[in-house]
Amino acid sequence: MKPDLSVSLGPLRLKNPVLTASGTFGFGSEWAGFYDLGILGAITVKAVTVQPRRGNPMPRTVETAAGMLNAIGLQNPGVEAFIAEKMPYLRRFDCPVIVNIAADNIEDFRTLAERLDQVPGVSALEVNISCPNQACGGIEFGVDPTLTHQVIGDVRARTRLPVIAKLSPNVTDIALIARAAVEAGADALSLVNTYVGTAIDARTGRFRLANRTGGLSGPCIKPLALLAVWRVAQAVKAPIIGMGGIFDATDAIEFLLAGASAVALGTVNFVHPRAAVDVIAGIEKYLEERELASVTDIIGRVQPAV
Amino acid sequence: MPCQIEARILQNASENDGIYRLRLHAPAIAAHAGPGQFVHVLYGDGFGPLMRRPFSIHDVEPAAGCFDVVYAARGAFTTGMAALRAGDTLSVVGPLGNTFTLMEDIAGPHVLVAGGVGAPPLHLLAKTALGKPETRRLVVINGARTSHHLVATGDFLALGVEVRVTTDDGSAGRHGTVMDELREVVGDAQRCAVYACGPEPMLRAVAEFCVAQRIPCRVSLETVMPCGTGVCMGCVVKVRDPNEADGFAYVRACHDGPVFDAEELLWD
Repeated sequence: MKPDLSVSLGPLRLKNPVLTASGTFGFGSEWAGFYDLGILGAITVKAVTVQPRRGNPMPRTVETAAGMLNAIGLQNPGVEAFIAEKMPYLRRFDCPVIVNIAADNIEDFRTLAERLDQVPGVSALEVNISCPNQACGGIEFGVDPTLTHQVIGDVRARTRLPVIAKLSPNVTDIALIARAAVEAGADALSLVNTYVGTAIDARTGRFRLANRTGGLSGPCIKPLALLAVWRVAQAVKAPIIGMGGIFDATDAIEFLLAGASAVALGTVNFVHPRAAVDVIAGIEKYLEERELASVTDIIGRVQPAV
Repeated sequence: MPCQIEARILQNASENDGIYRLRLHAPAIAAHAGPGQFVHVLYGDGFGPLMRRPFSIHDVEPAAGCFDVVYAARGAFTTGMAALRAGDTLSVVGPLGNTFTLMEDIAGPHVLVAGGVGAPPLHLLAKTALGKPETRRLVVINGARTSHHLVATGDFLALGVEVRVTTDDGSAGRHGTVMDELREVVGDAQRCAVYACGPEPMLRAVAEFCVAQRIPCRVSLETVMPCGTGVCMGCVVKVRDPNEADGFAYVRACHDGPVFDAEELLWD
């Protein structure tokens, strides 16, 4: 018998635990040649803001050792264009759509929650209180437990949709922020967003990013992200979507063992567009080899080294 | 529609100083690839290098299921690629991006300006344009710093098109730049059209000249492309947009381009 890959993120039921990470998958339509989006546990789309955002000047990205820095600046067409132009395509697939919402003030978070609440095909909101790039301003919310509580509580009050808080790792104690988000009504937590970093070109003496700082992602952050997930899993009961440098099924399984109920693929989508197909198959194979009936049998089951 | 393929290398040989021709067997890509489009190549195992790099498609043989990329082995990535042999495989995603299409109602010549390693998309354009009724006259301006840096000159000549070679040092063809040749070609021509690919300073000079002369011009841009598929927004270029503040917007070089009308581009 095939193992059961389905998991729950609070009220949201997923057929498997593999999601896309916001900002690494656009709004889904570029992926038609690679696989049917219906295979995914859920699609998390690029961050949407109230007004369109033009984004940061170039250069916006730079490759680093086993990773990359990005400072895109939340370029997106705005919530109205998203609903009118992007949602019709996403509704075609048998796959929940999680909309990542970003704002630099609480009013905009409220507006986004209310506006998206009644939109057919939207399955959940992921509240981006952790964008590390200066232009978006969202990180101020995610580094302060009081502000986190306020934003998540305000979104919670304005939507019937499941609310997922996307947490920043750029904090002293991520468990503290996680508790604030859960107390304010978050149904699930996404972590981690990128780590703030920079890159300098010694030859020219210049920063490599126009924004100076960017968010670090890719395999180089995996050990840090894994620890963040484990710490938060110890601190709260809410389900966790774990992410940060996952490149294959083994990486994904490590996050599940650390306590994530689901995982999101980010930077790997740029390198291996078909990664989700391989990760889903690899998780299934892992469970089969161990004769485990359900993926839930490994969630949070990491054991001591000796 | 792009796909991800482990392509078998049929050939990977040096053509000129540090210039290599890579022939890949990838029928799903060869069947659809057009001039101006590119493939996103992953070289190596593990995480160094981590990201793919874009390479323009130089030639396509759909019946044989293969296509060619011509590249300069300069950095770590391309030097590593140059060490691969026939029979090895390379992960490629493509075909990606939009295409060069031949402009219509052009009474004069179609002028293809190919600078250095920018030649490949123009080679494929020249090849596909030959024999079409709208191609009355095709002129290729093939320029580089020196004769050692010239790319695809032999391929252009083999197509039987008019080729004008320029080098900055005079080691081959005209002693000068592609701009010297371009001014001459368009000077006596009635309503020509220009297509260009090459280093950014050259593209800018060609584009600004054509816009000033009201010559229709399309250029293929290269930027850093993390995803190549249009999802990351890391490869944007500035285009005119009267509806935006300051009159410009950012669009994706990989997905909305790499080919743009010279008139819409804004150069920093």
